[in-house]
Amino acid sequence: MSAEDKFYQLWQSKKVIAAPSKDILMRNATSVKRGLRNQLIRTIISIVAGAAIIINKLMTTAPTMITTWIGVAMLFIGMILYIIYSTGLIKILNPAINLPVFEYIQHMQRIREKQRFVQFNIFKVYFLMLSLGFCLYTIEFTRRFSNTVQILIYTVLLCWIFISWFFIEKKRIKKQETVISDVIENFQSLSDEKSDK
Amino acid sequence: MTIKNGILTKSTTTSVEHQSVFDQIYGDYWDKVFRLCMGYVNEPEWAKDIAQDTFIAVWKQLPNFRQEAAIGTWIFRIACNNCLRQLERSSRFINKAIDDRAEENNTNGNEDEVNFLYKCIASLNETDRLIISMELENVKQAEIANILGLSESNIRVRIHRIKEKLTEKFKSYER
Repeated sequence: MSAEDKFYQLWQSKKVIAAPSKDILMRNATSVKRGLRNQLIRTIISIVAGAAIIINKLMTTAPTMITTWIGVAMLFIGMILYIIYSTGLIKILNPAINLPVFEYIQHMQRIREKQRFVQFNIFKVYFLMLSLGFCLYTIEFTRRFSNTVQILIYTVLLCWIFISWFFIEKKRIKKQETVISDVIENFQSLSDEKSDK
Repeated sequence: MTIKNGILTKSTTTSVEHQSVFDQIYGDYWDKVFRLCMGYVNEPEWAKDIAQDTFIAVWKQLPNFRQEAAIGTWIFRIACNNCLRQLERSSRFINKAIDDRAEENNTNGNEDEVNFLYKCIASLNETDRLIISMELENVKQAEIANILGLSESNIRVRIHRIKEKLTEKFKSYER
């Protein structure tokens, strides 16, 4: 028997795990979680909820100072920017699973590059707008307190911004960047194979 | 909707017809898709998960299937893309696991030949694994080219190189 025939024979004689029943398959089909999409949807929902709370606060307190309105505008710009880019990402997340393999690889690479852009650049702008917006927004509501209390409130607020950015977000972003960059690199090396061979 | 000689013929589709076509596909292609996934990851449970994901996608996409390709080509394309999605999960794990096994192969001469073939295939690069798995599944080279989006001559050359590599590995295994 030639080596080639032997390969065919060996390949076909591999013991195959029995196909799960169709019921199990259908149950799995309904519970399939598209991790990235769900994560984005959760983030958008929490942003919209935050916006709703701010709108409610504005309607009940009717602020008079310009800094409050500028703060709110900055908060909303940050939120809207993040939502626009995130929903753009959701749109291209359509699995397109039946594309030819090399087209699919390029599609997945584009998704991941866009995800990297959203997570690392848009998120930075979002965080900056959110922090500045909060600081401006708080001015009017701290006026009723003594200077000492005002200083205390701002110290706490700035500490919160500092800790969230330098200790929580930076760490999270670095971890995600490593994962996404590895994935992009893998897709890129597969794409390169097409032109190499 | 009916399947005849690997060609899906569409008529006004009802849910019952959709289900019966899917049942037929599931029965006909499970083993083939499972072996393809085994060639890619060489882990039975993992291969089973990828094969399941493939049939879930087939079930969902079946009403949108356009007769631009044979149903088998379409299913293998989905299976290949699902295999490559594993790169998003743990690419490093795949490569490391394969490296480890490749070392085992050199030291353990009593391994079953079937397992050895699958291990050799799993140690190839990602697209070569898919190409040789489909070739050994008797998928026509023109169809493999269509599935991957490469030229037929490219596929032919790559299959030739892969078979040479496998033959070399088997020669040293049998010594």
